[in-house]
Amino acid sequence: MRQTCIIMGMPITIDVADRCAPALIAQCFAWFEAVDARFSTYKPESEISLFNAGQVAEADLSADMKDVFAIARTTSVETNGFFDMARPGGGVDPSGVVKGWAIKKAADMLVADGAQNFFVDAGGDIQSCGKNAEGEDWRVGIRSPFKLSEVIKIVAPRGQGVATSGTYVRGAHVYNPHAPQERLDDVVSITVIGPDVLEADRFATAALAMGKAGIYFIEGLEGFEGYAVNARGMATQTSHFGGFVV
Amino acid sequence: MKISEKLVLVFGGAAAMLVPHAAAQAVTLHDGTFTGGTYDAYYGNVQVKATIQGGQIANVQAVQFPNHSRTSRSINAQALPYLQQEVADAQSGKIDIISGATLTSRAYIKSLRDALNQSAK
Repeated sequence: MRQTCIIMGMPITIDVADRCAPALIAQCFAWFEAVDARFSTYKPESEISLFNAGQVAEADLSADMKDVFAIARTTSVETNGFFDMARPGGGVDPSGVVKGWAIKKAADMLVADGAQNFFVDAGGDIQSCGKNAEGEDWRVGIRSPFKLSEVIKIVAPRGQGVATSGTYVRGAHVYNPHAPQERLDDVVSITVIGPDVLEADRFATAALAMGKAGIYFIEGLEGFEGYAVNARGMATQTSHFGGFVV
Repeated sequence: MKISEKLVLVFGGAAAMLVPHAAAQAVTLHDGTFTGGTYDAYYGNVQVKATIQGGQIANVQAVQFPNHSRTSRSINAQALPYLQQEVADAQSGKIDIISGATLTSRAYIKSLRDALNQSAK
């Protein structure tokens, strides 16, 4: 049973292959709505906006917000500052890790309810588990950065998380904090497969900000594989990425 | 730019400059051993020495490399990771899901909403 909703400004699809589970899927969508209400920097009444406005002290933040801040800070250290939730104009925007974190939590909710074969896809970042309705591995297509209707690679993540960061849809929505004015027009898309979708997402975001060095950064991370496409249509893959290709 | 600098860039990820496929705009390499400058490779400083024989890269050794973080560990082990490259061509085959950068344009969402509304009927 598959359903799609638009939440947080992006299509979110949940597919539970085990059974018809409308209440469970609705519960997951409600979770994403709650995340949006709490973490949206576009909503003046959200917890993150209140924090940025100085109306809530860090000590008084919700457990979810503290959890996300901790993940964002760890990611900043692990990527040598290439992931940074500090905004150029002041305040913080942890949205680079919120999506992966929210997907992971939604997947945890499905598992807690007994689902064994499912995927959660939020804006192209995916946590899958088990098999599809035909009993086969879930197959994820990597979208072409040049032609959105085209797929340039098909992978079976087999329970691992998949996330893609790119400059092609939003314009340069990721920037290099060490050189904010630099255009990242060389690498246009990088897909990361990691232990779970949160891990894949936070390192995909940072790797894109690194430009051409990003795929080498992923190569150096144990348990991660990547596929980067540059503006000229050349793809570079990490050593063991091929093991996921179907 | 001197050739030695170009070789250092290989480590930084600009391998496309010097490997097949992208090598069409040929760079002429002269034989010898060249040591590059020291560059910040984000996870620390990197400096390499390359040996060219017959106009081809015969060997690349890291003279200086970072060794303090988990990030750099496996890169160090290989000195120069050679990563496979290919042309990103369209693939066909059965897929369940698509991974791509977040699609947030209003036009896209509007159109998708229409499509979802239609498919919901």
